[in-house]
Amino acid sequence: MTETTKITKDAIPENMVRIEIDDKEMIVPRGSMVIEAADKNGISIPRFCYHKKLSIAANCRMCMVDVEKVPKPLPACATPVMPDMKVFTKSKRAIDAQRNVMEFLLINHPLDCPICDQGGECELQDQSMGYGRGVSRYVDSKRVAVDENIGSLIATDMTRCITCTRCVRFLDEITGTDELGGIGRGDRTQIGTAVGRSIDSIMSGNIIDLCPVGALTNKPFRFKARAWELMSAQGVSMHDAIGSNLYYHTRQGKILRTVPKDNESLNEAWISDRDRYGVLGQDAEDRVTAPMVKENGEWKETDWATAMDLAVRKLQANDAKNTAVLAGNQSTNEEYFLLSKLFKALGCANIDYRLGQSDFTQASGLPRMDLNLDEVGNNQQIVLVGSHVGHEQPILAHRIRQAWLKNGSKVSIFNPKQYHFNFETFHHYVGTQIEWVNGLGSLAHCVADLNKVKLEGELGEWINAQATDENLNNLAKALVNKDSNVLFVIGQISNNHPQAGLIKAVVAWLSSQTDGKVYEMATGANAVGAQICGMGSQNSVADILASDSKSFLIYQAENDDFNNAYGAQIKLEDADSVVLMASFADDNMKQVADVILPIGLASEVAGSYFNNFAQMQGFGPAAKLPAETKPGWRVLRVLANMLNVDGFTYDSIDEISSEVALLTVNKGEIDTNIKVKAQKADDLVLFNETTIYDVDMLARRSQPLQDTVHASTDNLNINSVDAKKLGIENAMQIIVNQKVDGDTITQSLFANIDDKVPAGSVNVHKCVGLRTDALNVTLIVGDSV
Amino acid sequence: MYQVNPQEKDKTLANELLTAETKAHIDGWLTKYPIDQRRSAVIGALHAAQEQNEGWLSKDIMTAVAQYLEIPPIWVYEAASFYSMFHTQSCGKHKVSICTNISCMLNGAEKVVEQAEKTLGIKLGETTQDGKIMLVKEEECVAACVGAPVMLIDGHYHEKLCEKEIDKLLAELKEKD
Ligand code: SF4
Ligand code: FES
Ligand code: FES
Repeated sequence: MTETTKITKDAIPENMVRIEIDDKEMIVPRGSMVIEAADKNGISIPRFCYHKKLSIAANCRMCMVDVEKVPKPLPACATPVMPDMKVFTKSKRAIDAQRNVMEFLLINHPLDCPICDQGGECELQDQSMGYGRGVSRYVDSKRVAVDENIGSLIATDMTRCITCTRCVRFLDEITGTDELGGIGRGDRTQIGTAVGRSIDSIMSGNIIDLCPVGALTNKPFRFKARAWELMSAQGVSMHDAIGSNLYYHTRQGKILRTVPKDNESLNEAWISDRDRYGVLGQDAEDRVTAPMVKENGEWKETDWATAMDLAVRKLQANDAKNTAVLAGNQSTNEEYFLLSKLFKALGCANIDYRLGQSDFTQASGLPRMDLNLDEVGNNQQIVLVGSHVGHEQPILAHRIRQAWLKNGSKVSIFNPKQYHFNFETFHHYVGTQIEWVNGLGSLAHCVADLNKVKLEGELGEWINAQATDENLNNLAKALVNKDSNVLFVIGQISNNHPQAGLIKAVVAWLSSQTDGKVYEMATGANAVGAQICGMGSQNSVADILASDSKSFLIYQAENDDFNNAYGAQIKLEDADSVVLMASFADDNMKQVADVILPIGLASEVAGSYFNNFAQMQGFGPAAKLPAETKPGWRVLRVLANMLNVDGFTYDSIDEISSEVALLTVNKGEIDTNIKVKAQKADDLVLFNETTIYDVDMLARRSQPLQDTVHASTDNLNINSVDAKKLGIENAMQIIVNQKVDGDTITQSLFANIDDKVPAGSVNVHKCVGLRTDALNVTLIVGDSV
Repeated sequence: MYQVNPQEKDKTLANELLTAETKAHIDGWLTKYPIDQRRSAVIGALHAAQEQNEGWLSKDIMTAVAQYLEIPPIWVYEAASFYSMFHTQSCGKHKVSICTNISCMLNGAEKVVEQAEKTLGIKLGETTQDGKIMLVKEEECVAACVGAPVMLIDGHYHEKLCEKEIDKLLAELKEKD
């Protein structure tokens, strides 16, 4: 008999039922499956095809259990619980069924675990230890499958596949990209793509974790280490501000791969490919691992004392007013805290981390965030404002897709390019960088008319000046409907837009009119942390580049991070002194810097990040610091002492973290009382796009990511209508001229005719070196070159 | 769940490759299903596409069908590779399929296969050198068990086969153009 106390009938709520599994009594939700009940109560049932986040396929038959009064074993993953059901997972009938299934599964599966990359962490291997026979009775030939090349991230060994279809279901249900399927039939079914395609989903790496056998494995990690040689260390995403939780797997102090750590409120059970493979940028050729100084134009490695001495002298070359600190957005809070504390103590007001932005009118606080990530799905109307969401915060895109799929949320979009999304769109407004902002204004105008409000102030005047139209009026009607929750997502395209302040003000105004919420994306993994730690409250990067600053400290940043990469390079070339504290130094940085102090990446140091929701998440060092590299906070501490600044007596990172934790976090707000900066199109309007794997130093250097279809190109994408007008054909060389502040930036690019770009617009990737803040460009084509 | 994920809007191949007749045929099938279950039209669509493409389905024409139906290409390829009436490699003009499922097997299907292979000089799944006749690789029960063993020639049923009958049928087929 059971030892647990009997549950009386009255104690069971309406929507629950009482069952027993292996004599253990439990109350579980009506309609749930036996396997879920078992999992929740710590009773293990073997399985291959079942996964809590995917639909039920019940095709592997490994989860057979014995149910009282049922004449044959049943699959636990597809058997709903019934009142007073009695399930036995270890009875003779259950175990026999499981053993038989195992024998069939192993018929076509190679028995060569020692040469399989999954060996040691394979669900099939584990379970065949428990349920398999010592020696196979099968003597006939086994099925063999031909491998496909599905891209640079995932290795295939399809002979090992047991056709559980977890990968197929993931790509259908979660990413919505449907790249894999079951080809053929019966015992010859193979999992494959539709003839030689690659898997291009931005979350594709998760099928590696899902695959219970060694059929899909991590390509860059292939044959690098065995599971039992690896240490696991907790980390936080270094590429976007969702703050996805993950584990780094290291051997001898080196990160070899990344896997997700479940966090139901953030990344659930997944991570994006950027988070999985981005860290591999750590080994790039231009990694600096020893302090270096420049002597007569030549770089020489030296010891820390010499380099620090020089750095101090360089930083003292000018008074604090003419000194500036420019930082990237993926360092730890602790580093930002010390940086801003040190330079503020010195009297320096030129500190910024918003290197990619150009309009700072609404960027001096935290991003406005009216909800938690897991509340995104509660909104019936979601409006994306200037966002290629999957490429900016992949996990947010996943949440929006689930909202569309499960709750029927309607998603509308305002963008400068016709991106493909994995959810249906309700209204998809595409126009040039100038047109779509005006379109947003038109929407506001429609809302104002529907709500009969008087528009006031500069913003009101601007909204009033935008034409209303039928289509947008439909959207407006849906948004003002009292019964629907509305969410506005301000994306990174908006953040980097020269009219960012206006866009945000319109959104804030719209949210006030529709009772909506605002999700303002941060650009950069720890941009929020940088803001909280005081890196952004002073002069903006644009002010700094226009100022007389002559001494610079560049902290974990490089040329490609700047909106105005060209201007930044010139400014740094002209500077008296440039101290670079970074993990990498490319040729551009080496050209301008005088001394390089090598510091660790966030994956190599202890510290913390703030995510988009202002949650502080700490982590320890996962990897060993390479060679002479030191944690940034230690270097800053010593630097402070050498510069004779008080208050830098920290002996451990924890002391700094606890000070960071005490900082006040002011809720992000958006002002609607603004000055409107108008933009006018002269000729073609530029959309300068930061692509998914070009967001930071680390992702830029990850070769597996750069080998995917999502890598940046030096194409000039142009609509076929404009191409025809200008006589442009594919692959033609085109000269682009961008005029700004009396300067002209010129780049030579290759034409690519693409109707995803709206007419009147040209689209380039940020890495080609044009500025994001000047929208007007002219092209020189063909003979006139 | 019947939901179809949003597809890229590109219809280049569909417009290029599918004839007006094929499209009309597919449109007919599409009217029979709710829009979110349009995947169901894939078999009818593949028949039409195969007919227009000399009896087989190329990678491009399958992609064209996917574009036309606005469903993922893999769904089309899955269906095409599943059913024995679809051919994903170029094949002979006339198709001979011999049922080898249980009833036919018990009534000597293996012998029928052997004889056909010998007469035509090719193995199952191959096509005669002149490109005229193909022995379909594998045919499952064609729902004519009462007449086992059964052979299909270009979709026409020939039942209760004997050696003489097979010789006659194949000889006639060789004469056809
Ligand atoms: S490849 Fe792996 S996940 Fe996909 S069906 Fe085969 S065993 Fe399952
Ligand atoms: S886990 Fe239940 S059938 Fe596969
Ligand atoms: S088994 Fe051949 S027709 Fe049924």
